[in-house]
Order: sequence, then C-alpha cells, then structure tokens
Amino acid sequence: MKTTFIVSAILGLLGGIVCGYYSAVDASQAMESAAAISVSQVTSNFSVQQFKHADPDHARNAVLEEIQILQLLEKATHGRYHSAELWVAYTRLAMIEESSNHLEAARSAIAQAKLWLKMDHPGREPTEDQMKQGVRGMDDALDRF
Amino acid sequence: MKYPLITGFCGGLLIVAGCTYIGYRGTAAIVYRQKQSTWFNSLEKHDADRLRQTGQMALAYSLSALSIQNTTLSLDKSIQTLVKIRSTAPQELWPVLDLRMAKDYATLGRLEEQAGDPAGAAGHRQRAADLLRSIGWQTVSNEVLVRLADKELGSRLKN
Repeated sequence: MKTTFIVSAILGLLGGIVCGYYSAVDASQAMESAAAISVSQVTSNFSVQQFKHADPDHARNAVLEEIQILQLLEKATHGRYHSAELWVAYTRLAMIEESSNHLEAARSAIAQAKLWLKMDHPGREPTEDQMKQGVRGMDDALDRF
Repeated sequence: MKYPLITGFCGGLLIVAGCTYIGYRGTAAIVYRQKQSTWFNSLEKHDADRLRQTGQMALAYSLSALSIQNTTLSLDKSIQTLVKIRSTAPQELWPVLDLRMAKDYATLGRLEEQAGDPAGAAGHRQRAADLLRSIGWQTVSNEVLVRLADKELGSRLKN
C-alpha cells in the first residue's frame, strides 16, 4: 500500500506540473496581450482628455507619454498596429505646439503625423487642416460616446 | 485492515488529486512569474521593463474601472483601489490615476448632493477640483464638476 501511495503522489505531482506549466504559459501570453491593449487604451484616453481640458504643458506631457508608449508597442510587436493612433497623437501634439506658439516643434510633429498616416493609409495625402479636422471630429465623437 | 484494496484505491485517488492540485498551483505560480518577467522581451531591457511595469498597472487600472458602479460604496472602493495601485505605479501613470480619482470624487459629490448631503458633496467636489488642478485642468468650476459627474453617471464604461 505504501508503494501505491508513493506512486500516486508521483503521478499526481507530475500531472499537476505539466498542466500547471502549459496553463501558466497560456495565461502569460493572454495577459501580455491584455497589458499591451490596456496600456495603449489608457494612455490614449488620458491624452484625449488632457488635450481638451488641460493647460498646454500638461497636455503635451500626456500626448508625449502616449506617443512613447505607442512607439514602444510598435517596436515590440514588429508591426504597424498603432500607426493610426500615432498619426492622431502627433497631430494633437502639433496642435498643442501651435497653441503655445512653438511653430518649429509643431512643424516637426505634423511631419511625423504625415509619416504615420502614410503607413496607415498608403496613397492618401490629406492636408494639415484635414488632419486636424479629423482629430477634432474624433474627439467630439468620443465625447458624445 | 478490512478492505485493503478499496482503502488503497481511495487513498491513492485522494493522493493523486491532492498532489495534482499542489503541483498545478505551485508550477503555475512559478512559471507565470518567470514568463511575466519576459514580457516585451524583444525590446531593450530598459524599454521592456518600462512597458512591462506600465502595462501591468494599466491592466490593473482597467480591470478596477470595469467594476465601478454608480453607488457611494462602489466609488469609495474604487478610490481605495486606485490609491493602492498608485502607490506602486510608475510616476508617468499618476496623472491617469488622479483623473480617475477626480471623476470618482466628483460622482460621489453628485450622488451626495442628490441624496441631500450638501456638506459631504462639497468635500468630495473640493477633492475632485484639487486633483483636476494638479493635472493641469484649466477650468475647474462647479459646472465642470457636475458635467463630469453626470457623464460618469450616464456611462457604463468608466475610463
């Protein structure tokens, strides 16, 4: 009987270890994706609200933080999953710089916005005004939602 | 022993179940922690660490926001959770958490106003206003706070 119990314990532990390993790997992959989605959503939502309500310094910080996070996610995923969010964020940054009269920084931000927009929609080249109009339209829609 | 075969079988079964559970929980916890430390590993170490930490906190924040209901009890609990998350969150996320807390305080104030508790409402609105000013909001009037609270009360999704 002693042997039976020892064999049972070994079999149980082995089964548990194998199941635990695969379950942890699956859970970790799912949570990594969830964290990536979550961090981009949280920083984007925050930067939209700061853009609407905060002073230029705080709004700029929020948008720059969003841009940094999105660019890190782009690098991590080796893809262009965030190019739409990035052109919108850079357009917002350009609008903030314009309102603070930092025209050189605004020009540089809009140039970045155009680059990301090109990656998001190859072949389309809207004007700066159309891009800003688009961002304002998205913000109004988000506000109503 | 009266029934050695039955005793051996049942005992073995219990041991298998117990050891499977222990092996599963222990391995899952150890492997998950180890795998978690490799999230975003295709980035440089500094960037991966930053994204990992911010990602985990953002996830905790998003999950806590999902359970907020329009009751004083739920909002109080949400504020406590946010304070806890803020104590370990990277500094870049503090303004995000402060905005969420400000919204919760403004909503608490609105609920208390509706319940006929003007003193409690004024206290919570003051906290909301202080937090909003700290994150650079330019206009923090009573109307802004009421609008913010009403929007929160009308929305199922808090973000």
